[in-house]
Formats: sequence, structure tokens, C-alpha cells
Amino acid sequence: MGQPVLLLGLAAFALLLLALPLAFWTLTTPRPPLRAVVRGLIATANALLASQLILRWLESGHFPVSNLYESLCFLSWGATLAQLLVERAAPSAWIPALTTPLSLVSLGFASFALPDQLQTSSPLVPALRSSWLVMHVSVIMVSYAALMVGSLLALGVLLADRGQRVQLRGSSVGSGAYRQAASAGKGGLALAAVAFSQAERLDNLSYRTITVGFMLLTVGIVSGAVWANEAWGSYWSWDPKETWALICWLFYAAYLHTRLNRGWQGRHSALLATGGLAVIIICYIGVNLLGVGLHSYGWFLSS
Amino acid sequence: MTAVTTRSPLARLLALLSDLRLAVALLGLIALASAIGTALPQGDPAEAYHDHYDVAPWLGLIRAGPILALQLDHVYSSIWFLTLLGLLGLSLLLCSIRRQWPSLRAALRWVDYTQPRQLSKLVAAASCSRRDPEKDLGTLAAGLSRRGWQVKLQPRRLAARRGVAGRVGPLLVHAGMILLMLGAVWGALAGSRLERYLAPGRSLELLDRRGHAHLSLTLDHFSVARDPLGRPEQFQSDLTLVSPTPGSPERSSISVNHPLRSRGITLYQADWAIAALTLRFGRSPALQIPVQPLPQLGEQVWGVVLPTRPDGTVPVLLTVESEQGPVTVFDAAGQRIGQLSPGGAPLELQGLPLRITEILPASGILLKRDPGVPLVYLGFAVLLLGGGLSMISTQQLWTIASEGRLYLGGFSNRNVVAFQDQLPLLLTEILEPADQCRTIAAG
Repeated sequence: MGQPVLLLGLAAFALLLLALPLAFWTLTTPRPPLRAVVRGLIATANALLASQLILRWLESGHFPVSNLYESLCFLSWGATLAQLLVERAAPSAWIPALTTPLSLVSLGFASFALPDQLQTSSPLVPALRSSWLVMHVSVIMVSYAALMVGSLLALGVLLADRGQRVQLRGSSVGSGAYRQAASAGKGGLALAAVAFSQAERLDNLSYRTITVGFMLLTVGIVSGAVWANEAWGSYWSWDPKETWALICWLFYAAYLHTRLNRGWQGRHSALLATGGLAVIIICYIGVNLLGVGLHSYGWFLSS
Repeated sequence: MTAVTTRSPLARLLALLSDLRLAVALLGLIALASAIGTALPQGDPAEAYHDHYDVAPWLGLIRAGPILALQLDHVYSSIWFLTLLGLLGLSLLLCSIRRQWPSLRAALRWVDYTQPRQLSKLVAAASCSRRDPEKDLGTLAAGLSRRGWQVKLQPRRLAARRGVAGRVGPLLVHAGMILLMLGAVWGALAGSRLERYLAPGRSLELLDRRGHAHLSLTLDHFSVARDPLGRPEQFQSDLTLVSPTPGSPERSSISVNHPLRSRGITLYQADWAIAALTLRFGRSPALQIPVQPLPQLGEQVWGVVLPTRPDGTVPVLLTVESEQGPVTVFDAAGQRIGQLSPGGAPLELQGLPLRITEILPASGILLKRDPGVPLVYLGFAVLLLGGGLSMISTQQLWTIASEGRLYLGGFSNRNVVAFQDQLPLLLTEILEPADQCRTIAAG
């Protein structure tokens, strides 16, 4: 692996490391210029990671996801991108404070905790030499990043406005868009918008981020199934990796459905979404590292 | 709850199966069962579970007996897992018919609010005094339709909506899931698969269900492309397909990621193996000796034991890992004697020179017929279309003009917070100047 690739990764790590305490600081004392600085740091880290991945792609000649180091760098890139997009949609000091740790930890893990042989770029086995690889893996990785960012925002729902009741804001049927109607009275009626609490704002943001992540995960799983059918003759074979991707999908599908039940108001669905973080980590790292089952890409990996 | 007891058992069962809580429970149970299937080895022989889990119980609790009794050795084809999937399919179907369809029809209907009080139940709402609220309605209608809203203007009131297509999404997602589950069931019942190793020059005769010849398959050539370090990059089989019906034989080649579809069958390049070694002892004719996989020596090692004396004693073991060679020779004590490359120099064994002339690889070909695949793919397409539409957030806006005041109420299903934040800005943009409206709506 080339020196520039490592240096770019370390530079991105340093920027994120600088951004994190600043992000926590803006949470306690509102300082708009400081928030712009945090945003700038994250955006620069994102650009560095992008150039690192492109450089690695040029060096190895294949899409840079062949090992855990590259894949974690890609995850950090996706997480910083998701974070910037979410903050663009709804600026809040909570977003960088909640989500910067994700890209920081995954990049730190990639840079410092991985044994060297996992960092070197390895050639691809025949089954992975396909144009499906780029599409399938990048979509799955971006979906993990979006789902994890959404889950971290849900963690914010658990932390913000504690002691205050939360009403779910946002679902496919729109149950969060209603309130108790004004009772009949005489004279002119004054209508005013409901003021959402910070927790409710985060709840809606988390819901929307997870919806996008869930859609991307669906695209990723479907593309994987179609690819597997082309390469191995079976669109589903209960391989541990694909099974865990399905478990993530089922888990977040359950989360999306809990929001439809009027009886399940409050922070329950946010708690479930936060739990999704653990499911994704098992799926993403656990299946490979903890040796839960044997993940091999078909019959060809060992050859 | 008293109404429930008076309904027929069938109605109660249908209500239970379309209950949201059951759907969530099923999703959770299927996820849990799938996880168990990745934590225990699947599809091993029963003795393997006894050997392992009678000594060291799974999770410190469960021995081989319960594992086998609960079919945890083959979770994904166990009767209880398939039952869970079946229930999920039923729940999807009933929920789509009983809940989503009526809900979609309700969402597509224009709701006509005539009283300001009716708008007070919406979380996004505003009211303000205006000089000419009736004229404002016209301005709003024009402004909203310019911004892509569907607008319905009536005397003293206005209704507008945008992104209604988003409401179709969830129903399509469910429909796609049902289609792909049906396709999977069809494929499991009517499909078949066959894996065969074929050496170059050999043929395979396929029979149909009545025992008639359906297709004959000949492997003309098999090649492995390797990188400079000897790692495989691609495998390719050149095939000739002959069917009993008149027509010229079809020549075609398959490789990894590039299967061949012909006569309802798909042929995949699925694996490879070493089939045989061609060797000469001294001046003997070329002998083709089949080799066996030797899993105890490694995942891709093949070999054969040969006697070197006429009475069958002093055997040697020949092993090979690649069709390019080399062949490694071991004596009976397991000591390495030497290596042979195909067409290379001989190796003296007890004064007998041994040469390898050829290493013959075999192609692992998977033949599959799955009539469910088109349905599964259709399911995927519908699922993705529904997922894409679900990204669209529906927005609705009602405005009522009454007694010198303008009353506004808005609805958004997914994007309620941002919609409420943007509503005052939208109104200010259209109803210029709207200082009064803006201050109240933002308050």
C-alpha cells in the first residue's frame, strides 16, 4: 500500500479527532461560527477520504473494498457524507455531536487496530471480478453508513429532553402530523403550529435517515441476490453475510412498523433504532472477525 | 373489545393475522431464527453435533439432542422456520388488503375542510388577519401550482397536495415481497439443480421427468486463467450442447459471472478440480490415473497413492494443487521425496524414473432450472419501485378564508418537522407582503 494512501487516512482521522470535541462544545454553548468550523472539518475529512479511496482504486485497479481497511475507510467516507447531508437538511448542533464518533471510530479502527495483512490490497477472487461489485458493495456500505447515522440520531432522542414525553414525528401514514383539535368556542380561532421538542426533531430526522438507509439496503440486498444468481446460480443461499444483511433489513423493517402503531408512542422506537447499531456492527464486522459462521464468496475464495 | 367476541372465528383469525403487532413479532422472530442459523453449523451429519455439543453444549446449555430435535442443524429449511415465513407472507397479504389498500384510497381522496376549527388538529397550522383573504386564496393557488402542487380551489377555501405518489410506496413494497415469496416457493417446488464435475472430452446426458433424453452436454475444453503468482483469475468451459430435436449443436462457453441460458436451463461455471494425472513409469505407456480430493491436506489438494513395486509395496503419495503443477511426491513415511512438473524432468523412485506428462483439470458445472426466478425478479422490481416511491414525502395544505382571516393547516406524513418549518417561508414567498402571517405561523 502506498504511503500517500496511509497519510490521507491519517489526515482525515486528525481532522475528525479535532472536530469531535468542538462538536460537543457547540452542543453546550450555541456558537454558530464554531458549528461552521466543525462542518468545514468534517467536509474536509470527507474530501480527504474520497481522494484516498480514488488513489487506492488507481493503485490496485479495482474498486477499493477488497479488505477490511478499505471497507472501513469507505464506511467513514459514507458516514461523514450522510452526516453532512442530514445537517444540510436540518441544521442542528446535535447532528455532528452524535454522528462524528462513528466516522472517527471506524477510521481509527482501520488505521491503528488492524493487523498489517488486513491493510494490504489483495487481488480479487474470480467470483468478485464483476461490474456488480462496485454497485453492490458501494450501495451496501452507504446503506450501513446511513442506517448507523440514523441510529445515532435515535440515540439523541433518548438523550435529549429527558423527562419530557416524546410523540413520534413521521411515519408512512403520517400519524405524527395530528394533534387534539381545538374545542368549540366563540369568536375568532387562532391557529398556531406545534413547537417540536429537540427530541421530536431528532426522532423525525432519525426516521427519515433510516428510511433512506433502509431503501439503500434493499437495493444492496437485491443487487447482491441478482449478482449471486448470475455468478452462482442461486439468488439466496443463507450465507452468513447475506443472512446478517437480511437480519439488519428485518430489524429496521420492524422499527419502521413500530412507528405505525399508535399505542407505541414515546421513546420505544428510538430505543429499537439504537439497538440497530449493534445489529449492523455484528453484520459488518462480527461475521468476519468473530468467526460467526464461515463467510466465503462461493467455492472460489480459497483457491 | 366486546365487539371482537361477537365476530366469527374466521374474522377473528383474519384480524389477528393482519395485526401490526403480529407482523412486528414475526419480523423479530425470523431475524432471531436467521441469527441462530449463522451461530450453529448448518447441514452437518448428526454425529458431528453429538461429537461437538455433547462435550461442550452450545451457549453452555444446549446439547446435540435438543439441537437436532428443534431442527437447529438446518434452521432455514426447518418446518418451524418455513411456517414463520408462511405466516409472514400471509400477514403481508392480509395487511395489504385490509389495511394498506383502504388507507391508500383514503390518502388519494381530496379531503374538504370547510371550518377553520377542522384545521386545528394539524400540527402545522397558522392563522392571520388579511385585508382580502379571498384574493389571497387565488394568489396561493397560482403560487402553489407554479411550485408543482396539485391545487383544488373552491369558494372560500383551497386544498393543495404534492407527492401523493409516495403513498403508493408501502403497498408496492408489500406486493413485491409477496411476489418474490411466491416465486421462491414455485422455484423450490418445481425447480431442480445438479452439480457435476466434467473432465474435458466427457459428456453428460440430461433426462427430462419422463426419462427421455433432453440435452447432451460435452465439455470440449476447460481452462484456468491465473495471475503471475498462480492465483486463479477466471475459469472457462467450452461446451457443446446437443438436443434430440433437429437442429445444429450449440457451441458456447461459460465462465464465472457469465452463465449460459439454454432450453430453460442455466449452466454456471461453479467449481473446478483436478481429475487425473497422466504419468509414465520408466518406459511404460502413458497411464491416466484419477486423483481424489484430500481434504485432510488442505482445501484444494488432490492426490493418489501409487505402488512402486510389482508386489504393490513401497507406495508413494502424489499430491497436486494446481493444473499447472507441480506434483509433490511423498514416501510411505510422509517424507517429501521431490517435485515433478508436467513435461519436466523425471524423478528416480527406487531406481524407477517417474514422469508426469499431463495434469487434467475438471470443470465443476452447475445446471439449474428455476421457473420461479422471473417471478422473484418481478418481485424485486416491484419492491424497489415501491421503496423508491416511499422516499417521496406527501404534503397537503388547506387554506380557509373566513371573516377577514386566513386559516392554514398542513399535513406531511414523513417529513412533518421540516414541512412545518418551511411552511411560513413558503407562505411569505407567495403572499407578499405577509408579515402578519409569517409572525404567527413561525410562533
